This record gives sequence, C-alpha cells and structure tokens, in this order.
Amino acid sequence: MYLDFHAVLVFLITGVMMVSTPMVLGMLFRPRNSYKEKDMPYECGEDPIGGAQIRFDMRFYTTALIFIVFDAEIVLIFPWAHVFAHHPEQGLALVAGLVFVTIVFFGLIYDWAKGDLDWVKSFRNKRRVQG
Amino acid sequence: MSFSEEPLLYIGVNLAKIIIVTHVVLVVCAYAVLAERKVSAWMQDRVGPNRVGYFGLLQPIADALKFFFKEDIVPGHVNKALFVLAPAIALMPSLIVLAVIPIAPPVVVMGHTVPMVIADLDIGILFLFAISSLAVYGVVLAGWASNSKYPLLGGVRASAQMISYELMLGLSVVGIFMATGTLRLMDIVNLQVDGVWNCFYHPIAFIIFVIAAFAETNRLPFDLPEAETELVAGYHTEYGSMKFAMFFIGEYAAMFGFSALVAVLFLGGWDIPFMSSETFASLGNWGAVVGFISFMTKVLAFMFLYIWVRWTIPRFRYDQLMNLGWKVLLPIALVNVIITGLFNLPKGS
Repeated sequence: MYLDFHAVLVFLITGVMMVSTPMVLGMLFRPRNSYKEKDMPYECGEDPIGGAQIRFDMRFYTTALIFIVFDAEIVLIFPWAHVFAHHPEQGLALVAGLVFVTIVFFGLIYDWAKGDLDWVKSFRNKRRVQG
Repeated sequence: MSFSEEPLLYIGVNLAKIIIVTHVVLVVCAYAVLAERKVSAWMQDRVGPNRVGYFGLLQPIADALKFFFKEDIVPGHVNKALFVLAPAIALMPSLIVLAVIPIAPPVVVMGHTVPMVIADLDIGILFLFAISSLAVYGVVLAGWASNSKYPLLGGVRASAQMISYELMLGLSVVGIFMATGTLRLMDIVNLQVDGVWNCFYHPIAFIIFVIAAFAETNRLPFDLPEAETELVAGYHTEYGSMKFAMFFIGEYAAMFGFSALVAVLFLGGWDIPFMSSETFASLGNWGAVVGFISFMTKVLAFMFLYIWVRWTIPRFRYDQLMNLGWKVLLPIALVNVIITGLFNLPKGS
C-alpha cells in the first residue's frame, strides 16, 4: 500500500504559504488610493445599467445536469477497469463492461436525439422526438 | 524508508523533494510567460521583450515586482470573502496535483532508496482528477463574486466547458488503467520504461487527452472563458495586482501540471528510448539526474506545443466547442474503452 497522504498535507501547507505570503506581505507596500470611479464594475468605461448577477442561459444548467449523470457513470467504469485488468476470465469482464458502456451510449444517444446536446437549438429536432 | 525507522532523514528527504518541485514549478511558470511572449513575437515577426536584462531574461522578475507593488483594488460591489478566496482556489489545485507526479528514477540517499515523487499514492490518477477538477471552483467563484457582467459570463462559460471536457479526460485514461491494472503513476512509468510508451499503445486516448487538456486549461483554441475580444478578460476582469497574478500563475501551473501528466501517462515519464530501468539503475544517482532532464525535456516540449498552438489556431465558437466535446470526443472515448478491452484480451486467456 502506498498512502503518503501526510506528504500531500505538507505540500498543501507549502502551497497555502506560497499563495498567501505575497498577498499578505504586499499589503505593507502597496499604495491605497481608492475612489468612487475605481470601485465601479468594469464595463468599458460606461456606467453599468442594472445588477450583474443576472439570470443566465438555461443551456448551461442542462449541460451541468448531463455532466453529473455521465460523470457518475465514468466513476463506475474505473472499478470495472480494475476488475478487468485482474480478472482471470477477461472475456467475461469485457462483456460486462460492454453492456455497461452500451447503456451509457444509449443515454448519450437519447440526449442527442432529444436535442439537449445541441448548443444551437432547432425545432426540427424537437418535433422528431415528440412525434 | 519510513518515518519510524529514520525520522530525521525521512523528514529531510521529503522537504527536499517539496522544495525541488515548488521551485521547478515557479521558475518554469515565470519563464513560460517570457517564452510565450518571445515565441508569439517571433511568429508575428516582432522582437518581443528585450529591454530587461540580456535577451529579456529578467523580464519575469520585473513583472513579479510590478504585480507586488501595484494597488490591490477590491471594488465595493464584490462579495469580499469569495473575491479574495477565488484566486487562491484557482492556483492551489494546479500545485497540489504535482504531489503525485514522479519526476525521476529513484535516488539512493545514505543507503535508502527514495522514490522521486512527493506522495506515492496507490490511487494517484484518481487523486489527480479529484484535485484538478476543483480548479473550476476558482473560476466560477471569481466570476460570480465579482458581481459584474463580463466576469459572470466568463465564469459560467468556463464551468460548462471545464466539466464537459473533464469527462473525456477521465475516459481516455480508463484505457491505460485497463492495460496496466494500476492507478499508481510510478508503476505506469516503470511499465513504460521497460516496455513501449503508452502513446503508441493508446493513440486515440492520447489525442483525446491532449485535446481535453487544452480545454481544461482554458488555452486557445478553447479560451472562450477569457475571450478578450468579447469578454474583456472573462472571469478575472475585476482583478488586479497579486490576485490577478495568482490567476496568471495558476494558468501556467495548470499547463505545467497537464504537460507533466501527458509526459508521465503517455510519453514514458523519465524514459529515454532504448534505455531500460537497469541502465538507469547502473548509472546510480546520475541515472536520476539524466531521468529528470529527460522528463523536463518532455514537459517543456509539451508546454511549447501549448504556446505554438495558441499563436497558430483561431478560437472556436461556443457551439463548436460543445459539439466537439459531447458529440465527437465523448462517443470516441467510450468506443475507445471497448476497443482497448478487445486488444488486451489475449493477455489473460
């Protein structure tokens, strides 16, 4: 077993120090000269209109949902790959993996046909599935 | 060698490794910025930075000092805690990932064999993906906490892009895992040193991994999160001074991390063609030096590829990016898993 997580912890602390030291040390040397115009959101010199935390496109949300499903499936492929590499009957393990990957593939094809993977939505695709 | 046997030596050796890795990363990051400016200048028939020091070699130091002494503006409209935290979150994962990357053959220190990797984990690749996928939080939080329109758009775009290409990144490595049966990066390198490099065994996985690595680091042709012609600077528009430098170093550290990963997973790590592990061992500690130089050559060559591609290929449109990820690379990666399985069958039966 190789479980050197204590080394990772030390490396993590080193990293935190590397990040925080210049930030904190610099506070002693940096000029502070803040005024109203500097504090405004940057919009190429225009006065901003309305708030910034607007509603954004629904498609990003769909992408995130599909990602979660596929990521969970890929997480399940990793243990299978381990079994495949060490199994005495690799043919059998491969068939099992084939079944699983086929199911994942059908999920992908379903999303594809439903139009969830299209960034530019078209009505043609929607009609085809809804009949 | 373990802590219980020789505590002082153990601590000393491990600290030395950490110091070596952090310094290599920082120096490479600093000079990658200079290399990027020089290479782009040559490609566009310009001279590039040449005022600070001979050949512009002191430019990174001048840049760092300038970042250090600039006013650190935290605008009044931002979410302060997340605004300050985001650059650190963007930089940290790219650094921590390097903890599991083996950089050279083992060295012998006072009769003990020391593996040249900070943390020799059984689940190296899983650890690596788990940590490197955290980098997306830095980008998203920066975009959201800035409370400004361009950063929000950049942050949202970046999140969708990075999670999409993470799937291909994970799937392409499954093939290597199936063939080698181990997730420990040290074993994967050793198998390549005595055998064939994985990029010849798994060419499809290699290509997919390289493309996904470009997308994960937000480099051209996938730099839509910070597309400067439409989003000013994307998620770090509102940042300045050292915080901007964190994002900047983070991008180059991520490039270094992925270059090292490509070298370890596909290009044989520290291997030199026609040299076996016995040849390295027969050279003693010089074998480690030779191996380290070989490893760094591969990493730097791959970083040059990053820069080369950036100044050669134009940016994708967002729908092209998503189509390439979900409709081209993901099916190919899935089929690749099965093909790899078929090719590896005779080994067991």
